[in-house]
Amino acid sequence: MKRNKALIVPFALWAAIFIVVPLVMIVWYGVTVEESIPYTEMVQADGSVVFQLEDGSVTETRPQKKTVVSLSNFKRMLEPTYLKLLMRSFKVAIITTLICLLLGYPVALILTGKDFKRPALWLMLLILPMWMNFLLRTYSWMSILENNGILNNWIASLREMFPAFDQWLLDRGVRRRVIFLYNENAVILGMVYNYLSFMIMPIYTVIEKIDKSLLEAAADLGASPVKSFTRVTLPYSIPGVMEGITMVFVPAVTTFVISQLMGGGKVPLIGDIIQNQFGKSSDWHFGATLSLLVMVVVLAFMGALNRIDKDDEPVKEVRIL
Amino acid sequence: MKGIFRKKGFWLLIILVIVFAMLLAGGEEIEETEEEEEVIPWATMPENPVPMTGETISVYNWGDYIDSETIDIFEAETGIRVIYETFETNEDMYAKIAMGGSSYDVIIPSDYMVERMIQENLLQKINWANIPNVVNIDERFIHESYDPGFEYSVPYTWGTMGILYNTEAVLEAPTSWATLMDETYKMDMFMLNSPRDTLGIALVMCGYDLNSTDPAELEAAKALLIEQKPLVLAYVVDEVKDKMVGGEASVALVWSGDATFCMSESDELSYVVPKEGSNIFYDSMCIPYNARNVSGAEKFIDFLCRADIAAMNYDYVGYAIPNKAAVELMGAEEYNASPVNNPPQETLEKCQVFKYLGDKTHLYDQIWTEIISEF
Repeated sequence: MKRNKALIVPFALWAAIFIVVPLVMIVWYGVTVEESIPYTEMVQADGSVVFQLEDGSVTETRPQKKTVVSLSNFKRMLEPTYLKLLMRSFKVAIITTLICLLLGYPVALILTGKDFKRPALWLMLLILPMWMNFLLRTYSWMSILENNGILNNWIASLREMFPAFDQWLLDRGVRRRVIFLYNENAVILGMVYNYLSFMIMPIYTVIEKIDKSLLEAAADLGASPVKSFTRVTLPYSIPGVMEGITMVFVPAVTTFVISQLMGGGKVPLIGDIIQNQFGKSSDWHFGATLSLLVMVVVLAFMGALNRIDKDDEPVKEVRIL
Repeated sequence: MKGIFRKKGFWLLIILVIVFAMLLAGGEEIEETEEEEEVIPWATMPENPVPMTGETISVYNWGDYIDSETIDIFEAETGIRVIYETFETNEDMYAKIAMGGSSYDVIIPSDYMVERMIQENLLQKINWANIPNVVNIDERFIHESYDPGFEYSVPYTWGTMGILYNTEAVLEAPTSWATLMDETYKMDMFMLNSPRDTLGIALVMCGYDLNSTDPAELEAAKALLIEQKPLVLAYVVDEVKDKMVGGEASVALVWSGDATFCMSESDELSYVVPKEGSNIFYDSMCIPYNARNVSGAEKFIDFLCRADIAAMNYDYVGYAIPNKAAVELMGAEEYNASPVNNPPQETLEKCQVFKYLGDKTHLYDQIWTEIISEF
């Protein structure tokens, strides 16, 4: 056994470089701020410029900023603006996860059904669009839903064809174009579309592995299909559901591009604000503080989910049966 | 078997119908513009290229911001090989230079970044004796507010912020920022999702300085933008181009570079720098403090200031240029016909550059976050 310890070295190194170091850097950036040193610029008789610090000392090079440990970014983070954004990110992510679950579970179940021919092909068809870049997929949704997009053009031509329909819409206050984009629902649609396969895959894998003889036994003992689903398939598929929830929820809560594109900047999420700190606003320290906040909250959330997961021991359920 | 076949055929038919319908619906949008403009090369490769000397310079520029042909010409004329890299934002470029790991000989940052890099000792002074073509630069476009004494930077392109509007959709051509507060364009306008730009314009609309850091003035600008919010269809970034060309909204706050692109794609669009004044920006050629080949960098900067080369790059990039010799070469009348290249002089005089705000930058970010998260 002792000899095998050497085998962990590559992984330990990898983990140190790509997990520990970045984490330490984020924490370091999060708890520090940059402070500029006040100085006055003075032009001397010979035309050269010197810089006088507040303590009276004089240097020839311009005094640079220094990094100091400060919790001021934590104080700023707890302002209602940012908490409100965090709440909204959670709300949107939870709705997205629930919709993905409601759509994904039946799909996974149907695909594993014994009278379903060639599930691998259908699974592949489901996954295929995911091989495209997600930006491309989101842009496609934009061109479908835009004011001048495909869907609106269809509606417009329908209105032209059927004046009664046009009147019916006008009576309901729908103007020439229906504004589908630039709101929270559009953001949720974009996220569900992008993350749905992450829900289907793990659930499908788990349900597929359930011992079919258990279902046969349930049927033999007189359980109805509904009952054998609730007593066998459902409890055994919980680990897949949990994995699906994690795989959808975590990227959903930190997403940023989808909300910008589908929400037109009107539905900012915490991910957008963090991205701004590392981009336009160029305040890496505050960006790191915000990411720490998100990490802690997501960790707590996932921890709570895992507890629920542990409480549901599927074996117990089957024994009762 | 027959049943399955029928079923398959049925689905195939449905898919075909949907695809066909989509193509039809999309087809209305696609308008082929086949105006192949004849390209007149302002400069051509020298007949006897200088053999490569082994000397190199590395250039760090914005993406898609030079005609690559000009680089070939430079290499053929001087025998200096150009290692060319691009960046997406000033901040990306800044991070790379400030970290000190890599060395570039010529970089092209924007005005406020030039100011910041001067302050942080990241640039070196340019020896004008080695850049004779600097005489081609129009004095109107030498702004000392970001480069005091004109010592560190040579302007490469310039632009403004203004209103891009759809001439078919607006009642009358906008001339003032007041258009952005006009109820007529409710849910029919785009604003920039960018704290500095949008708040800067709001400050101008309130009659304050574009670079104000006075909390009361910023508060007034914030109130104005919150009042404007119900009128705004979306706060966009790069998407504004596709959306305005596609007729998604009637007016938009844009950078003149994007306006040039949109106007080349759609005849219905036009651009104006509002009379109250606006932001003017410069992207300037600079030599970083740790350049390895300063003389090569000077040659390259001088080369880019040459009238024929500046004209070539103008044709390719489309941004307005500060090079009066190039404008003359191309024909001032045609060049000045574009509202992007030629805002009225009195408007231009009211335009200011963004200053580097240092620690105060986060004020803008904070206020901007408060505006967009108002719900």
